[in-house]
Amino acid sequence: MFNILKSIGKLIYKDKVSLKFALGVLFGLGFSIAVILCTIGIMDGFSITLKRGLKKSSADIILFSHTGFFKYDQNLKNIFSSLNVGETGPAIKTQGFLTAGEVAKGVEVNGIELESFNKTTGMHLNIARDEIAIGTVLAKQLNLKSGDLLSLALPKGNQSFSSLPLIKEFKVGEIIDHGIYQKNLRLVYLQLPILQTLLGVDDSINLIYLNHAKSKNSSLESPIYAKRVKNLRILLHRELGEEYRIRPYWAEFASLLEVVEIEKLIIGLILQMVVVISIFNVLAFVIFINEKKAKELFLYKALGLSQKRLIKVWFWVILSIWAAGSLLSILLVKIFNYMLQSFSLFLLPGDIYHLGRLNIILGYTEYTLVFGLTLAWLFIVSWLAIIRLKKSLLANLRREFS
Amino acid sequence: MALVKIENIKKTFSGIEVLKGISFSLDAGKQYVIRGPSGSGKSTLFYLLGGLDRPTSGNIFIDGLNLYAMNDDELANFRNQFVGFVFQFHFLLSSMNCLDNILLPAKIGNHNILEVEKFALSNAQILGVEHCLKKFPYELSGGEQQRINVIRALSLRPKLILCDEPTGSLDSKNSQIVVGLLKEMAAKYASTLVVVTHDDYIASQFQNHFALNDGQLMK
Repeated sequence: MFNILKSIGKLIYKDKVSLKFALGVLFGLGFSIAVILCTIGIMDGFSITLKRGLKKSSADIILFSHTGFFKYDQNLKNIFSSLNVGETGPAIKTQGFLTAGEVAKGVEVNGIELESFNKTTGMHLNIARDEIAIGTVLAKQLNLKSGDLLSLALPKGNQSFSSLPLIKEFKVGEIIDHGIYQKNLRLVYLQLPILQTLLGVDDSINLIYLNHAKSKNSSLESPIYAKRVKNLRILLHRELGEEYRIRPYWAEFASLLEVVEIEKLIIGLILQMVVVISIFNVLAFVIFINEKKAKELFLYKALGLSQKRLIKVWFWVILSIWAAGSLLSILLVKIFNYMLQSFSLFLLPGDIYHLGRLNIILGYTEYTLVFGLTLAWLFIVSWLAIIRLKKSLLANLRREFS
Repeated sequence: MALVKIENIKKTFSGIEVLKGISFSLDAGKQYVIRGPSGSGKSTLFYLLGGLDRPTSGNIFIDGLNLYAMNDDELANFRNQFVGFVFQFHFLLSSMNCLDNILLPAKIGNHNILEVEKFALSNAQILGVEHCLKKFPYELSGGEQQRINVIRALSLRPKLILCDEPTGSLDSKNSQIVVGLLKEMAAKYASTLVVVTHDDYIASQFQNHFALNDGQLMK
């Protein structure tokens, strides 16, 4: 079969017109597959980058108390250790106003224990007691750099509504990038004891960052990891009851992530049409060769090539085009991703899209699914052309040999 | 002994009966010519004999095998193993050199390529075209191309050699050479040679004649 395939291949590529047609078909198929891969890849990239950004400043799970502040006591610690919880990080999250010069911004103030926070999240914060860490977007908007002074206005907890807001001056200790626009605009970090003192809540906290014991070496994209987090959340909820709100790190953007997932499926299905259209080009190519090289193909038949084997040859030709088109699509995806990462034309308004740039991220599942579906379409549609080929062979045989 | 036995063959195209019930037989190792004017049905008979088309009715037995009781695969295999074709317009593939053209039936039928190549080389020396083997068909003269075509037809040592107007595109000198070679090679390998032609001069080179006219065999 390989010898026949090789010699029929020569028939095609030694003829300039056929070769140009073949290259056109190949590029068309490769481009169509690349369009689907890029679309799915951008959506996956969006979800994954968003999740990575969310995880960077969070643990697997965040636990809040419905009643406000609470103590991180031994009872809670015992429950966590019995439920496969790994590192934990007590913290306070509250609202505040940050003023620099004449500009003020509403911010989310996080009081953190540096060591436990850095362990539970992907952050590497190192701020002194009189320092504050702010996000890159906030720093840019307020024109702040490390060492600059700013004022933070905080409510005085729930203890007394009559109290005036507390205003405290801090030095910018670090400017950090969360990977998410909104977080870079809104989040600021102080040492937990400082915030506890300012709020007058003693050693109380209002949230705990929790990691699953096995999450350290897990990939964020792994379904096993997501399942573990979901299971841990269920177990915690079962154990702690309604007193606590337990949210996975992606909860903040859960609806958006869900919408992206559904859109990915729908657009993936719609874009199948692009592939089907390019498959018709492949069929046109098969029919063109069958007509243009009719004499040559009938010589093969006269010399003993059966109809079955000729059909097999066509399927191998189609399979080769599919394989080459798939490889070409991978190359096109890489080129497009490079452009997305490199050219300012592709910068996104972060306040709308949360992320500054899109990144194409594709796993083996996506490649297998897209290539597999293309192959399936190719075989389904080409079957029709092959049947037509079979019917026309005898008629052409008479025409060519008479 | 009859190698080919044709029984009441009819062939109809779009309601027109091109062959109107032909019967004859061809002996093994003998050489025949089938004459007839254009439109007499000789090419149709040629393709039926070669298993390239199926009759509307009737039977063709070759070496005891009922040709049209075979399925497509068996018929293709029969063409490859049993028949050597020589076509009017040489029918060499321009995408490959002459040696590859000669080896094509061997490749299609998964035969021993080295053995066939050796056989082709010796025949190319006999026919004086050994210098053409690495050349492409378009680099050869008409006579050389037809000789390559003859070598290809003989390459698997078929029992039946079918030639459709083998000299149709050649001048008279080359026509004589090619017919002479065909007869010589067929005799050498004890193949039955059937030449279809409308050329009386070519026909006169053969002892066994069949004449076709209007789809019927003339005595």
